[in-house]
Amino acid sequence: MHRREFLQGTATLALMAMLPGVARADAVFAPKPGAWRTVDLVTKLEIDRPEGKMQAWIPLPSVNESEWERPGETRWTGNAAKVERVRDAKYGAEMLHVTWKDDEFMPAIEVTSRVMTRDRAIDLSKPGKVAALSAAERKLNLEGTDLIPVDGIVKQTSDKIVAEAKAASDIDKARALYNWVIENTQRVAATRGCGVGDVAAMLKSGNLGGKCADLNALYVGLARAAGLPARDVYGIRVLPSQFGYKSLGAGSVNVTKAQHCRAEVFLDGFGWVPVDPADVRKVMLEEPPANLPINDPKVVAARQALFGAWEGNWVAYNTAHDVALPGTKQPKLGFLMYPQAERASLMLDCLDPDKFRYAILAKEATAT
Amino acid sequence: MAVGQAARRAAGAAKPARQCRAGAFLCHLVTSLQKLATATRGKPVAIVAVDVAEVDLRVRAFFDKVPADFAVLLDRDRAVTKAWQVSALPTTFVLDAELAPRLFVEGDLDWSHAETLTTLESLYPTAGQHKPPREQAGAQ
Repeated sequence: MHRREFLQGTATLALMAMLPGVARADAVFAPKPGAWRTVDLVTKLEIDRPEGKMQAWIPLPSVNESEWERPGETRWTGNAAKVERVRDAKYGAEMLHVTWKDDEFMPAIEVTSRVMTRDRAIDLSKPGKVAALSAAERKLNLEGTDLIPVDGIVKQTSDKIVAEAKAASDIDKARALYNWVIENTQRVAATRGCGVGDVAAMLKSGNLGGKCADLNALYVGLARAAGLPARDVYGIRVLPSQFGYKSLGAGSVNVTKAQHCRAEVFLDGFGWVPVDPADVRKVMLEEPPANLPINDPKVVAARQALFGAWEGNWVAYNTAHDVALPGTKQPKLGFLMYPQAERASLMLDCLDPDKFRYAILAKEATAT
Repeated sequence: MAVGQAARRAAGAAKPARQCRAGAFLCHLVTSLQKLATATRGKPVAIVAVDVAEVDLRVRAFFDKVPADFAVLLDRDRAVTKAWQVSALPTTFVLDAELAPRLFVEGDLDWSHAETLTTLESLYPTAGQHKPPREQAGAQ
């Protein structure tokens, strides 16, 4: 053994000795592309206390990526007067726009989307031949949105993180931002839904607590501000984790409240790279026995994997921001991850599925 | 004097005032403002709350559980929040008798604290300045 290699090995052992959790290395979270899994995602929606004009918008899996998600057929049943499949012009987010007759006394629809999904992992050890983003895609994934500005405090924070990490390459910048989000944010269990994703407000207030739509939006904003194309990917957990992580999978076939937003950053030579710092914080907060320290083996394993990989137990709906719902004058949505509905010109509370009412079920159809 | 209260329910589902929990900060906030409303009843003070970007029914459901006798306005598209350059929620502005912003607070505050009440009293209009319809004029 060369002396230099020996010294490197010694340094590693010393570091592991300081982090006793790491040394046990008894946690495995290592998604790898393998078998596809086919899931039927069923959304059952009713308008509670029907009144006046009633319409609904149901997000459909509309991210089509040959390596990790293949949306299939969507079918529906119900008593709607009109059902129209609509595609957001800017981001390609698809939704079912449903309208009922004003006097419909029990407006209801059941939508079933079949989708194939599988694990995803990018080999970040060496760049390969990956098509570059088109100018239009690059622009879209670098610009600010209503809630994710890429100037001001977001830019200042991003520059500071990159400079302090002495990150020169794009992959180093992306990783530095990933580490910063993990080390400086908190998952707050009491946050409603997946959070709001008001990135500038988070940074100005210094309150970096929230859930996935907050934490991963923060990553996307910081990455875009650093000149790295990035995007939120809004979706829903549909199956348990095959690595035994209770916090990172669906707890049952009822996934009504299992929405989860992930993120991607585009790196030349690697393409779109999956990134999910919010799920690292989720493991820390929720993975039994809960409130795990950052050096717990389960956290370390998740942290190592979730920059470059994610598990295919989740279905992506879309990557859209500032979504205008067709057929209504309601303000734009920050993102479309929940069913939406309007009754007598009032939007129903999508974060209150019991009163709304809707339920989402995920059933694995076949394993291929 | 008018108070504009911008609040986002970022920390948990609303609970009845009597069941305020540590995480339900908006519940505490509204309760605190309601104590201010009670303490300043008959005084030249108007409180106006502004809810930011939440659907109407969610706001109604919250105030059904946590009653307040001041006006609650809805900034559905964040236009008011942007116009007032609010960057953190909750943010509270205190306006004087001429409706000019005099004070603002980012974060939570005990609005019924004696020191707070004294500060507010210092902004009361002097004799002859009081304008009865200020409550409406203060609404943004």
